[in-house]
Amino acid sequence: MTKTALFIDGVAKVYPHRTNPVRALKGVSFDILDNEFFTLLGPSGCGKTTLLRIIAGFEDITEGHVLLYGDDISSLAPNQRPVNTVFQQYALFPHLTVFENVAFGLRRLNRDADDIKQRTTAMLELIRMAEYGDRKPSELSGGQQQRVALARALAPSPKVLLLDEPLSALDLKLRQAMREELKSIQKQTGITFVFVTHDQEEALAMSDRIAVMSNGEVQQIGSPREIYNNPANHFVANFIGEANILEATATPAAGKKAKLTFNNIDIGTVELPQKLDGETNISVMVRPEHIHLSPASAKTKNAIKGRVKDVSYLGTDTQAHIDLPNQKEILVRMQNNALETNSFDVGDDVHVTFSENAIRLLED
Amino acid sequence: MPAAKPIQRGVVTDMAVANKKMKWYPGFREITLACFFILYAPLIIVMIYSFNASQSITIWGGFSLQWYEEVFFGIEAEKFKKATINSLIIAIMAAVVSTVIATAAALAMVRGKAFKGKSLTFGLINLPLMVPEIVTAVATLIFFSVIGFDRGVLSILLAHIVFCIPFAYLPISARLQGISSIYEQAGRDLYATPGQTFLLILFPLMVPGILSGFLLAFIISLDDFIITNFVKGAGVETLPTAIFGAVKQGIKPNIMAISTLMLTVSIVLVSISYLISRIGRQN
Ligand SMILES: Nc1ncnc2c1ncn2[C@@H]1O[C@H](COP(=O)(O)OP(=O)(O)OP(=O)(O)O)[C@@H](O)[C@H]1O
Ligand SMILES: [Mg+2]
Repeated sequence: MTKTALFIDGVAKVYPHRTNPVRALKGVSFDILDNEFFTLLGPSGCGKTTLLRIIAGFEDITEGHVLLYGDDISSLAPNQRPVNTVFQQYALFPHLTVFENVAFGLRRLNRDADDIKQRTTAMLELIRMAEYGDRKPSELSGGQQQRVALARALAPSPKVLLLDEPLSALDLKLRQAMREELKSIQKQTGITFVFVTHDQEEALAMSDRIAVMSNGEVQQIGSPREIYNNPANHFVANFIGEANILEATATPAAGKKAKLTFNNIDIGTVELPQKLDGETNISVMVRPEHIHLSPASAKTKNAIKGRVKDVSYLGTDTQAHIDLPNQKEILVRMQNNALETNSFDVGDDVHVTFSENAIRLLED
Repeated sequence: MPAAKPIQRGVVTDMAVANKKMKWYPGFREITLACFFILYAPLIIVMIYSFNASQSITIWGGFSLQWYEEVFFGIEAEKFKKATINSLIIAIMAAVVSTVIATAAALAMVRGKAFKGKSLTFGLINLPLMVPEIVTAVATLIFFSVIGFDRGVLSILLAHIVFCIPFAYLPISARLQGISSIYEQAGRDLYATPGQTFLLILFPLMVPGILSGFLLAFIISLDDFIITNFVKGAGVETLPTAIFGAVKQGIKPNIMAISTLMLTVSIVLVSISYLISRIGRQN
């Protein structure tokens, strides 16, 4: 069994204010495993930075505890916690050279001189910047500063590395390259990473597990695949990727199974958590890429009829909004192929179909 | 400006031209020149006449360094030398002490937690800038006599420390406000104690502000006349009071030589202070 690196135990945070105090975290509990690339993902203002700063020791906790490998570190000062941070604005010391920046933590830990030199050099090699030791931070590009900030935080071998949107200041190409690099450095060093981002694509690509947050609460924790394929609720379904939420009618079938109809069309049978008493409305989710469009002329079984509202060509994909008879619309995403079979025009009558395996139930 | 406007000129260029015209008020240049003339003509005349070969302070009699020679080796040389030494000692000590106090005050005001009466404190620190100097001078004199404090170099020094504090405070606190607290957080994160964080991170980053605060305080102390004249004891002179004493007996060109020397020192120090703060900003 994997060990728990960090245990966030009922952590609540209120920023005091005379008239309206902010409840930034409303009692969150979860654990982060040893060696894990763990991501906190959520929209702006949901409390990601607050949680990270609580783990680092920069904010005091209103309620709850933070345990690091079983030890309560909640009341320790930041310099007493074996945890390091990569700041969003890098925060490299402008008056120190790159080498001294990276060596800073080791010097404060009173490592001996040889050890400091060796470890710092190794870190600079890890980020492929061995020749840059004598430069000042102001003489580096954004991507280089980013890597130095990473090396500086890794040098003292922290038990957990905290990263607050470290890639957000980089341009797209560099950001994608740094994703790979961060991920491989995490695997190489074996240090537990807690990574904050509001970019879902970044989170899906890099993480072992993701905690989706909103409004100071954790909505779901799971692997990228679990979170994308089985979102727990509306918020997660909409925040990670795109989602079509359909209000379907469920009628009881054998056991806990229920037959779903949408616009009086049979869309499939699903297993519910408990047996249905009678007919009910439930909301289900279908991802846009799991939906199939065919011309209205084609003979399709159990198809929902619709009309193309708009079409956007996105290179690898084509995306279309389809108007359904009951005023609702549905988003469809089709991969483009060499045969150009996805050529629908605005106003075309189409048939919308999806397999019953594509249907996901959402709890409210 | 070209006489004929090219036909295909874009809107953007036309707007730029219009903008330039709007910033150009009539008579702007003349008024500016007049201001500079009034400000600097007396100084320039003093500088020129300090090299005058003649006794007269109004008639040019050729170039000579005799008044500088007199400043350093003439009959009054001893008096001016003593006054200069007093001035330098007082200015250095007043600048050191007021810079230390101003640095502490800036740390408390900028980095400290909010406390009751913070804006009042800010006002109190900077009040000496607003109070007419003559009022401060009289008040300080009365204060020293009431508590029976001997007037001499020490009383001058104490008075100078007090009025130098706001001058040292301004550049230091401006600098400190420009330093993001993220650096201190990064320091704490990398195992530095609060003391180490100050010494290794915040203080080095503050140095440009502290140096320019120090130099400003030094100059303010060096050329203070009014307060010094009130609180100095009999027989104790600083350079400005000594110059004033000499001028009362009639203006001789050697005064112009001394003034030119002081002016040079001030310009050099102010320039250094400016350069330091500019380098600091660039970092
Ligand atoms: N120092 C503070 N004082 C008062 N309120 C604060 C403070 N810091 C954050 N907040 C509030 O707490 C909430 C959570 O903020 P936090 O910075 O943790 O969000 P975030 O998830 O990191 O957002 P972002 O993606 O924009 O960085 C927000 O409503 C914010 O306004
Ligand atoms: Mg944040």
